[in-house]
Amino acid sequence: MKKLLSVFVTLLLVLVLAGCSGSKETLYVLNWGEYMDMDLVAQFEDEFNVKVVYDEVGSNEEMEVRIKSATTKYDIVFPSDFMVDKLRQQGLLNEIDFDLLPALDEVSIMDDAKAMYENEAYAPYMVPYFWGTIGILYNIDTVDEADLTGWDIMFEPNDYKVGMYDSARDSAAAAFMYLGYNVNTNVASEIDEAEAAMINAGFDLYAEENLKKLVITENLDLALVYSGDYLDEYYAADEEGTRINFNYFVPDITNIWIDSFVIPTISENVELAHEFINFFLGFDVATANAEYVGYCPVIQEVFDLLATDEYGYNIENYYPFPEGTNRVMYRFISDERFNRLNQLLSAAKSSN
Amino acid sequence: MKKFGNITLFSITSLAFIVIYFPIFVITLLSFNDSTKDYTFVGFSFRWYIEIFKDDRLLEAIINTISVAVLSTLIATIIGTLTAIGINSLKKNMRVRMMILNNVPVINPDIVTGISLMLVFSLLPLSFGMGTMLMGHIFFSTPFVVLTVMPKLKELDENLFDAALDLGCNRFQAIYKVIIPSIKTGIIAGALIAFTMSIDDFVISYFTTGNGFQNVSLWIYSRLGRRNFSPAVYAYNTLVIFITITILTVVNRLNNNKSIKIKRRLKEMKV
Amino acid sequence: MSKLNKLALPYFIWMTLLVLIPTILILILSLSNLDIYTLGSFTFNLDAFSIFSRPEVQVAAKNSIRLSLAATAICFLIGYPVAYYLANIKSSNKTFFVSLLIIPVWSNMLLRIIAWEKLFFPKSILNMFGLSFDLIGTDTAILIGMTSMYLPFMVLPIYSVLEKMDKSLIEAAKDLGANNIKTFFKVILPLSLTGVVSGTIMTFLPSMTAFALPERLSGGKTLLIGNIIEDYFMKTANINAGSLISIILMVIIIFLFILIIKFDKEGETLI
Repeated sequence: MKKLLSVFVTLLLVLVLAGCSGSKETLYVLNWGEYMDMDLVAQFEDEFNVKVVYDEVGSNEEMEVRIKSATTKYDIVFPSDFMVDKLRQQGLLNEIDFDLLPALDEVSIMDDAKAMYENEAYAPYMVPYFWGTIGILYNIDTVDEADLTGWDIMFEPNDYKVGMYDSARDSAAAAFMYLGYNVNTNVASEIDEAEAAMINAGFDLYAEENLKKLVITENLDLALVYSGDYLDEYYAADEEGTRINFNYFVPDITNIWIDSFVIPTISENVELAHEFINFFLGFDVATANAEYVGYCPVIQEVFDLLATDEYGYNIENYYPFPEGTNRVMYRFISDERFNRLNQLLSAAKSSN
Repeated sequence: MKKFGNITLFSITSLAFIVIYFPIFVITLLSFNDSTKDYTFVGFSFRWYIEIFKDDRLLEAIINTISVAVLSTLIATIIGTLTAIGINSLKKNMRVRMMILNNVPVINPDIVTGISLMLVFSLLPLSFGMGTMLMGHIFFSTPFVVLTVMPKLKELDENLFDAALDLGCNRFQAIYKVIIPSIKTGIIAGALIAFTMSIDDFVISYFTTGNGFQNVSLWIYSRLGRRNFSPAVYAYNTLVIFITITILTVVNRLNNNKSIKIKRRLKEMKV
Repeated sequence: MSKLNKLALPYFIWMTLLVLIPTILILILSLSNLDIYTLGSFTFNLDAFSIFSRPEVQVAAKNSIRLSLAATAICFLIGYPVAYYLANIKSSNKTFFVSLLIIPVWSNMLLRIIAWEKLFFPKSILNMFGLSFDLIGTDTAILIGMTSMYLPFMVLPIYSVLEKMDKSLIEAAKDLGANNIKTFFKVILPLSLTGVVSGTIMTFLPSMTAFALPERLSGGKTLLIGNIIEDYFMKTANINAGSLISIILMVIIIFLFILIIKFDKEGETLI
């Protein structure tokens, strides 16, 4: 018995310790799925003789929970604008030391992107990564383009099968924009109206990443998605040479988001984290990464190179902020408001 | 009447097999599909089976899943068996209390167990990863071993252990040579359940892992609906089922060959 | 065998550590504004109770009870005949067939859920066989999914009771003039009740707290109590409300469990 117990304890200890040993320096990265070229990560590992542990999640809130629970001491995380602010307000982020990012002298951040966050209190805590919009992915065989007049196609009764993104913030934003309210409204009556609009819309399906495939297979006619979902499918179809039976419609007003590099305070390797950011800001690496990811880069030089006929990114909706359009960014208002938006989504989901 | 009853029972049993195996059938079909598209069958191909060995993250996840399952089964079976022997020798009140404590992880929703474990582990100076996930799996599979071993122990003669001691065994020998062999079937059943619980787990793994340690469930979860969701995981799943059924068939054959042939013939004549 | 009771001690400590501490923590969380991640100072309040006035929580509670009762009933109605049939076939392949029923559990549950999800959309890989279902969002989809996932857990315990049952009892009943139906209801069913209770628990609990399955098969439109817990813990970081629901679930389950112990004195019915 004692023998067995000691064998067991030793075994357990070995395993637990094995987790934290290892001679190389390790960098812990938490990112969205398919949001970085792993070959470039491997290149970083070689160049700096370090090991990168790379995890993927599906939502800003999940990132927040992971940072707070600190089960892994992440050095680099990629939250969106409003979440950067929320994390900053809770004191969970380190300020970026821009002196450690010499690559920024060689490239410039796009003006339109910069203008969105420049004056925000969280600007010193982030380095932008990619940006994009939310919009409506539709099947061109089943949706009459004349019906695409705005957000009303999702909310007003029609014969289309409509999929809604299963995210409180995005679904509520669509409802606010449909009703003509600010996406960041915190007026109780406006939120109640949005709830009624969502219940009334009676969406056929609530899902996340699989919405795009459902539109392509005609199981749905249209759905709310991120611009990246559309671009992903566009490149995939382009590569395989299959007919592109879908398109992305961006109403005149929509949300714009900027995902950024941040360094949480739990990071035990802040210097290496800066090296990592610097590496991905370098022109060549940034270009290769933007080509792989397919989203619109925030670096002007990279954009200028890619958005040409030669590189094939000269497509509609690649650039999220064309002239003459109206774009708004989410703000972190309060936990109470966010809980209210979640209740709104749950109420809409369970109403039919 | 009897025939009619048998036909009904046979149909219901077939229906049960269909309902349980239908998703497996679809996964198998997709594993041979020469495309990443999961809504049309493009052509037959083995490429995803080869892909298993090319996709480092998936291969790592598979190895992790199997090592955690094997280790947690091994440890849970040892702890569970010894504990059951211990509990069985307790006074009745204590025994019932222990059994209630034992059953908490069995009846608690996985998500509550997962969060509870995360809480305790983060209070301890532990680095999250394989160690914590393994402990989590041991925690929720041991009770099943205790539950399967207990009834077997009850069937034993209460004096068996003392008799073994009287005959000159020391305590280890008495447990190892006398008790364990007589509760063998219970232990095997417990080990099988522990393995099943571990290899398929998602929720508890999700909360108890860290530092990049991934099993197959976590791999699937983080890639659902994305470009980097490789159908190689269908191939892996198909292989697991195929290998298990093959082993089972072989074992079954061997067992059947052992049994006396005349007996079988007699049976056949009766039917 | 009383000399062996020390063997239960390490397990007792380990279980106490991993069961009691988090339970106390969850209890405090549900009745206060404690921040789980900082574990700083806190004040007790009943804020979390306001969730019960939310319609989606009420709907989820109703859905959970309705769907898990229905799934358990279906699993019983299919599972009992299957167990009965398998326990009574005169074949040396008996154990082989039972094992075949269990093997799919070794394949990944998330994958099996996704497989059902794909099939329940009108445009699916089944179109190649001329089949097309449009079931996403219906209770039928959820019930088929639950039956497929949990049926083995109903069959197994009933089978093991029926298999061990003394066949001479049935003969005796028949000799005394009972017909088949009477024998079944007066002798077989009462004697297999422990298996039925285990099977019911093993199907009812996981189906009541499932979250991935209802989410995927209902197109996100049928929320179960598991989805509400998951949302509170993972999406809205409203951990205090999530804890409250977990605690209530635990209380209900422990209450059910005490009822079972009343009727099976050792609390070992679970398997």
